[in-house]
Amino acid sequence: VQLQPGTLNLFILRALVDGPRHGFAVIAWLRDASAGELAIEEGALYHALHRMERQGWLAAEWGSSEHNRQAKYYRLTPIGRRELQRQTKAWNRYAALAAAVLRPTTRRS
Amino acid sequence: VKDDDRRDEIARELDAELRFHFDQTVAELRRHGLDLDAARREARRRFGDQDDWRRRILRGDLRRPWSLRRAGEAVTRGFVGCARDLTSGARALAGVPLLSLSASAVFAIVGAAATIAVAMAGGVLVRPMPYPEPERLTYVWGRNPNVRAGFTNLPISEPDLADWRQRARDISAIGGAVPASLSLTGGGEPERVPAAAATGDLFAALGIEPIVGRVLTADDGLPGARPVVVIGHDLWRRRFGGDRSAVGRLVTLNDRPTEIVGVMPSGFSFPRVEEIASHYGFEQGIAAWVPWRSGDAGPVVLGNRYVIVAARLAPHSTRQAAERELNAIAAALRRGDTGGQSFVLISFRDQAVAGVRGSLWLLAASVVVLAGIAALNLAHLLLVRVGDRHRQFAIRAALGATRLALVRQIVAEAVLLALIGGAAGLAAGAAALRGVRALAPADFPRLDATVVDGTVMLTASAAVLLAALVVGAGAAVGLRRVSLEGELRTTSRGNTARRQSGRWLVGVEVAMSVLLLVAGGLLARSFWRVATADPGFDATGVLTFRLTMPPGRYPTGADVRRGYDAVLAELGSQTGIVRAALTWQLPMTGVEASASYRRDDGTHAMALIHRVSPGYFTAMGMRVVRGCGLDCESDLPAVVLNESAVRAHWNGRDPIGHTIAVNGERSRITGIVSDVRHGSLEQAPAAELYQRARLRTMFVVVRSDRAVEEVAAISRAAVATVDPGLAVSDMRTLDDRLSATTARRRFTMTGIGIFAALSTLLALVGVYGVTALLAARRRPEIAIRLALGATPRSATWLLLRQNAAIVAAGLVGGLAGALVVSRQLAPHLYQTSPTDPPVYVAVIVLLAAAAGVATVVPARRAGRVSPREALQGE
Repeated sequence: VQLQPGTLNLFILRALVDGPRHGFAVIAWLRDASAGELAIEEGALYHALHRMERQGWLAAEWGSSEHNRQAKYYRLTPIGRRELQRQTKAWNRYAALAAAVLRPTTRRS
Repeated sequence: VKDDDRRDEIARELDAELRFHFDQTVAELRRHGLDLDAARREARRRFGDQDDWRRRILRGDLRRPWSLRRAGEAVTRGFVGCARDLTSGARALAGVPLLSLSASAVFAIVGAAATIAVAMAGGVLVRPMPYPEPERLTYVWGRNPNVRAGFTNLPISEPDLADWRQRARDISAIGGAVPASLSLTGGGEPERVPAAAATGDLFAALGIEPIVGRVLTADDGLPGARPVVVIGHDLWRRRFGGDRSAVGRLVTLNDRPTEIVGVMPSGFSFPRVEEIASHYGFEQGIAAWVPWRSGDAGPVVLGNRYVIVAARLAPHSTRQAAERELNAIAAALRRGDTGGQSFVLISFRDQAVAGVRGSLWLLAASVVVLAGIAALNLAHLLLVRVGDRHRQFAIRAALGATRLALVRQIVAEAVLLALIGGAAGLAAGAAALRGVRALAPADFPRLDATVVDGTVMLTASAAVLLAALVVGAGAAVGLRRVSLEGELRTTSRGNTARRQSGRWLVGVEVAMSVLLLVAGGLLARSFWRVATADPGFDATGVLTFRLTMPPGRYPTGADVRRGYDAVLAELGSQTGIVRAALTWQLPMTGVEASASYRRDDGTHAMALIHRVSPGYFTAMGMRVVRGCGLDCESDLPAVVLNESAVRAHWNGRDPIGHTIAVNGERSRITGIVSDVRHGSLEQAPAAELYQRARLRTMFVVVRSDRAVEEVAAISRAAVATVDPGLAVSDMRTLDDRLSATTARRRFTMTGIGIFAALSTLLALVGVYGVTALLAARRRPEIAIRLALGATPRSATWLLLRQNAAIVAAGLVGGLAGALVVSRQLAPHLYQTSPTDPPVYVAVIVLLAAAAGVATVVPARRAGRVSPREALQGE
C-alpha cells in the first residue's frame, strides 16, 4: 500500500506516543503496526523526522541503544502531542467521510 | 568559517544517525538469513536514493532552528546591525534634508502633544494626593433632594459634625473648616489673608505635620483661649523671611494680638476651592488657619450647614461602612426623621478630579487622534520615499541584502527621525506645559502635580517610538508589494499605478480630522451657549470686593453695622457711582448656605439664603418682580423670595405679606425678585430667599458708569476715608467672576480646538502632498496629453477627480465616525445635541473647501506645464 500524502507525519507522531524511539525503531514499529503492508522509503522517514524536529513537534537527543551503541532518540514535545491529537481527529473524520462517500449503492441507473 | 564548522558538525551528526540505521537494518536482515552483501543491497534499496535524501535532510537542518544560545547571538548581531542601520539611515536622510526636516517636525508635534497629555492626565489623575495614606481621606457631604443649592454636595451642620466626632467608630479622625477672614496689620500695608477656621481634629484627619511649632488643638477653640494662628509656608517666607523664630511671635490679626504657633509645610493648603468643586465661601489659596469657635458662623442648628468636613477612615474600615455609620448616627440625631437628608463620603482624589476627569480624557483622546494623523502623514511620506527608492532597494537586493534587511533600514530611518524630532518635541512639550498651566483656569485642580519628570519623559518617549515603529512598519508594507527582481529591468517610467499606494492614508487622515473638528465645533457651540446664557443679573459696570470689619475695633454687631453703613454712605456720595450694596455671597463664587423656612401654615421648605443690604437688587441689575424688595417698611424683618421659590413652594398663591420663620426668626415676605443663576451659568436657578444683614465679612457691590480703574480708586479711597485700617481684598469686576466660571469650559474647548486645527493642517498637508506627488509623476503623461491638444483645464480636472474621491470617502467615513463618537461628548455639551446639524455642515464645508484648495494649487500647476519642457525633463 502506498503512503497517502500527509499521513507520514501522523504515523511518526503516533509511533512516539509510547516513548522515545530512534529512527530504526520507528520504522520497525510502523512495519509491525501495518503488518508489513506499508511501503515507505526510509530516507523519507528520516527527512520527516528532521523536519518535525525543526518544527518543534519532536525533540531529539543521543542515547545508548539496546546494543550499547549511540543512537539518536526522538520523543514527542507537548506541541507534537497536541498536533497528534488534532491530526488524528481530522484524519478519522476524513476517513469516515471517504468511506461514506464511496459506499456502494444498491440502486443503479 | 564559523558557518562551515557548523555545517560539518551537522553533517557528522546526520551521518552517525544514518550509519546506525544501516547497521541495525543490515544486522536484522542477516538475522533473517541474508548474507552480508545481500543485506547491504536490501538496506540501500529500502532507504531510497541515499545521496539525495542525505542532501535534502542536510539542507533542512542547515536552516537555523531556534535555540536560546542562537537567539542570544542573534540579538547581539541585531544590535550591531541596528547601529549599522542607524548610521546608514542617517546618511540616507542627510541626502533628503527637506523631507527629513518635515518628518522630524511631525514627530516633534507628536512628542510635544504626548508630553503634555501624559503630564496633565498623569499628574492630575494618577499622581497620589499629597497626604499620608491619601486613600483613607474622604470628604463628608450632605445630600438633600429638597435643597437645590447650585451644587449637589452640601456642607455639614455643626451638630452633625460634633455628633460624629463623638460616636463614629469607622473613622479615626474627623474635622471641619469654615471660611475665615483675617486682616494682618502692623509692620506694613494691612493685608487680608485667605484663611480658614478649623477644628482641632482637622489636622489630625489630614495627617500633615507642621514644619515648625504645632498645629491647632481642640483647646484652642475653647471660649477664652488665647488667640493663635497657624500659617502656611508661603506666607511665612514672604512676611517673616522664613525665620523659625516667627513661631511664638505676636502679630495683629483682625486688630487682636495673636500668637503664631506653627508653620505648615510648603504646598499645603486646605481646603482648596479648586478641589471641592465649589467655593462654599472659601477663597483661593488658603494660607492661615485659626481655631474655630462654635457658633462663629451662625446659629448651631441642624438646618444651618456651612462646615466643609474631612474625615480619615479607621485603618480597617471602608468608605461604604463609614458612610453607613455616619448616616445612621445622623438619623438617630434626627430621631429617624431625616427629611430626605443623607450623607455621602467622597474620596479626596475623586473629589479633586471629578470636575476635570472628563475634560482630561477628552484632551488625551484628541492627542491620540492627532498623533494618529501625524503617524499616517509620516507613513505616507515614507511610503512615497520607499516608492522612489525601489531601484536602490532592488540593487541592494541583487547584491545580497535580504528583504528583512531592507525593511530594517526603513524602520531605522523612521526611528532616527523619531529620535531627533521626538527629543525636540519632548523639550517643546515641557516648555509648553508651563504655558498650558498658565492658561489653565485658576480653579483647575492639582496643577502643581503636573510636572515633567522621568516617568512622564519615559512614557512620552515610548509613545513617540511606538509611533515610529508603526510608521516604519507601515511604510515597509509598501516594499512587500514590489518584486525587487523585476524592478531593475523597468525604467522609472510606467509605474504610476503601483506607486499610488498610500493614497488611502490621506482619506483616513481626513476622516480623523472630521472627528476632531466635529468635537471642537460641538464644544465651541456649547461654550457660546453658556457664555451667552442670561445670568439673571447685569454684570457690566459692576466692581466687587471683599471687606471685613475687624473684631478688635468693631466688637459688636452694632459696630459692624455702623461701619458698613458708613462705607456705603461714603461710596454713595461719590459721583458716577450708581449704587453700592453689600452681600454675604456673590453669584459665581460658590453659594454659601441653604436654610429651611417655616411657612405660616406650619410646613417647611428649603431655600438658599442670601444676606444682603437693601440696595443689592439695584446694584446687581436684578428685577424686583413684585412688592417692594428689602427697602420697604415692615413690622417684621423683611424677606424677599425669588421666582423659583414662589413657583416651587407657594402653589400659585401670592406669598407677599405672609410671615415665615427663617432659622427660627419670624419675618415678613415683602417682595419677589427675578431668578439668578447663582452657582454657575450652566445650572438652573434654585429657590432662594434674601434677608437684610450686615455680617462681619461682606462683598461690596458697586455699580457705576465710570471706568473700572476709576471706580477701584474711588472705592479704595472711600473705604480708607471711613477707616484706614480696613483691608480691601479680592477686588474684581463682576464680568471677571462671570467669565471665570466658564474658564474650564474655555480651556477644554481651546485645547480641543488647537488639536483640531493642527490635525486639519496635517491632513491638508497630506492632501497637498498626494496631489503634488501625483502631478509630478504624471507630468510626462500630462505633457503628452497637452501636446495632443488637451487643454490645461482638462489636465487639472484629471488630477482633481482622482483626489476628490479620496477626500469624499474620508469625509463620509469621518462623519459616520463622528455621529457615533460624539455621543461620548454629551456630558461636556450644554444645550447642544451631539448631532447638531450646523456643526456637521460647517465641518464638511470647511474641510471640503480646504481640501479643494490643497488640491487645486498643485493640480493647476501641473496643468500649466509646457509640453516641451516636461518631455525634455524626462
